Amino acid sequence: MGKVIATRFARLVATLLAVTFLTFSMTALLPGDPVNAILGVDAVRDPEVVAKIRADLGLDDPFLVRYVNWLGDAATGDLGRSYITEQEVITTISQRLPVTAQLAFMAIIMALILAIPIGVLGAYKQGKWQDSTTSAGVQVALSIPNFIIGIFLIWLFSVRLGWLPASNWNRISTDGLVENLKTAILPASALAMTQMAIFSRLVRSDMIATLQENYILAARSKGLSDRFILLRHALRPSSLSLMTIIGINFGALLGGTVIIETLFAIPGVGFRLINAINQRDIIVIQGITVFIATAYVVINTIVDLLYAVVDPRIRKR
Amino acid sequence: MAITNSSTTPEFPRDRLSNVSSAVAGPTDIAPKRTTFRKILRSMPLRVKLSSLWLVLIVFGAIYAKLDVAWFGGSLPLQDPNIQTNGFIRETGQFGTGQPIEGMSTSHWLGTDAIARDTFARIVHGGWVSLVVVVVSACCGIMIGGFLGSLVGFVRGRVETFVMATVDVILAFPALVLLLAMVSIFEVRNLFVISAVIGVLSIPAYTRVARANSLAISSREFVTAARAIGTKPSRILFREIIPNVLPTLLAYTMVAAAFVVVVEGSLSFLGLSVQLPTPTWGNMINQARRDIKINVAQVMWPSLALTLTVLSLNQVGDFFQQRREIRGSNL
Repeated sequence: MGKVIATRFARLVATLLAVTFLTFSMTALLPGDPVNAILGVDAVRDPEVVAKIRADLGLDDPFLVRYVNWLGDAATGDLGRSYITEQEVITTISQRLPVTAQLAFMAIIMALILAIPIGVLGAYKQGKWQDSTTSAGVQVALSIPNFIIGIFLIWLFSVRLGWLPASNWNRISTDGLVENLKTAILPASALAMTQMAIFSRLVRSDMIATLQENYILAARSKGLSDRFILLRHALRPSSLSLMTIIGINFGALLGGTVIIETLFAIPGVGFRLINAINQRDIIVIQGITVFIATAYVVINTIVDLLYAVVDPRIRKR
Repeated sequence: MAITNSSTTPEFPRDRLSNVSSAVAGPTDIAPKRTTFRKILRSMPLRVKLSSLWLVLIVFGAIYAKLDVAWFGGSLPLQDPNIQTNGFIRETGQFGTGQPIEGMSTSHWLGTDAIARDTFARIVHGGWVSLVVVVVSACCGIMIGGFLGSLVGFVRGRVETFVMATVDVILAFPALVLLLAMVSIFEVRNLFVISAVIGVLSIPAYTRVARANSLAISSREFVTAARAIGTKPSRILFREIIPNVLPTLLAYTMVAAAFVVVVEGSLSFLGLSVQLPTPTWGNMINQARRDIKINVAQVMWPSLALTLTVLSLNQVGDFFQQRREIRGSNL
């Protein structure tokens, strides 16, 4: 177990170094003087400010020195400061992270709640009408981009029925949980749909394989009920592959939050990223990109380790 | 299959050699069956046929629309996607008869959008951006990623470690976030920039697929045989490995295309793809959603076009991938 953790940790560090380096290289790719890009298009070019930015970013140092300095700052939580909004990037992220995290978490939970029964049903009734209809539904759900789902959820639940707000965000701390959920449920559902399709397809195919195992036959011959076999004997092994796929799909989910937060005007990390791109606020784009990529890599490592904790066969290796 | 690269030495297992030669002796059962176009078509389930039909329609429509603008100066029977049908017409000195946000009619099949442009024409034209992006990403992916992957899967060693480490790092980013970061570098976003960025970002995934296949093929008996008779490695790569990796990559292209269409749609929806007024399905959806309280149909048509295209690509992609797997297991 210790060895597994050590190798995974070494790989994590290597990947993080490479990922941060790639993101940092973005500024080097910028055409012309980076100061122009950082100041934005409309800014007045005050020589004093230009000199300050050059000094702040150490633009006169060689590229590698700048990278090492920047990495050192980033490791201590200093991702720089936006020259447009004058706010520290790390403050922006820490203010907005809870919103994005809540959306992602809700989406995964909702997806699992829907996906497991659908997948189990499909496997149990394999080849029958229940299976073919759910499979077709899953295929369609897989093909609808999440922003289209979001728009039609808005149309149904806020334009036609008027039950839920079409945009905005209520915080748990100031408006209470119920008001918060009212604003969170639509965007989370839009995010959950694709995940649900992926999860349920996995559960179905996984379970079809498991149901052919000998121990299922043994359980059946003992006279255990179908429900007990399905939930206790067959579903458990699938939880491992579910965990992996949640980790792998987390990247797509984070990308999804960017779009959905923009659609619903939710003050999360993703919406800020789009704002920054529209303002060409390079420091913020860089900071958020590095943050999201790091989060994704770390989460995948944790999933891998959890996998080893849950599955004794891997632990022993 | 335990034949490794080093087993071309004199200790090459006798029984395996005889197996190979006996298999070669009967050319009738090893010669690959010619798969004709008609045979593939016949083995397609109905939904795959319908999907293919939709894709052909979209591609044909996009090319037709492009030809209309580029060669025929808009004289082919399709309306101009950027003309406001309620605008002033210089020739007649009168205003057009169109209305913004019209319903379906014979003059405007799918109605008009918020500034009275013909929605049907915009959807047909919108296919062009998706088509170009898909084709460019497939070309980049197959030519660069496919070649790199086949090469490193065959050559192995340090090159492989280096290439695959780079691929892993790029794939360690959430795809859309990396794409957004790359797109944000460019001040001018035209079709060339967008398709180039998406094309470059498609390379790693293709490399991974190609390498996995190349690894499997490199350990096959015909490659060992080719090595044994002293074929040059470059010839083995181009005559044995790549032709066998290519069909799998082509099947993967469909699935990748579905992803690329969604990604381009998302970029357009965020207003970060091709600049307006060039119609894309994504930016049509984004513009129409502001009037969703008045008219939902204008959001629905481009959404339908986008969803049906993605669904069709998934169906066709699944079909070809399954075919590939079945054929692979027969080999």
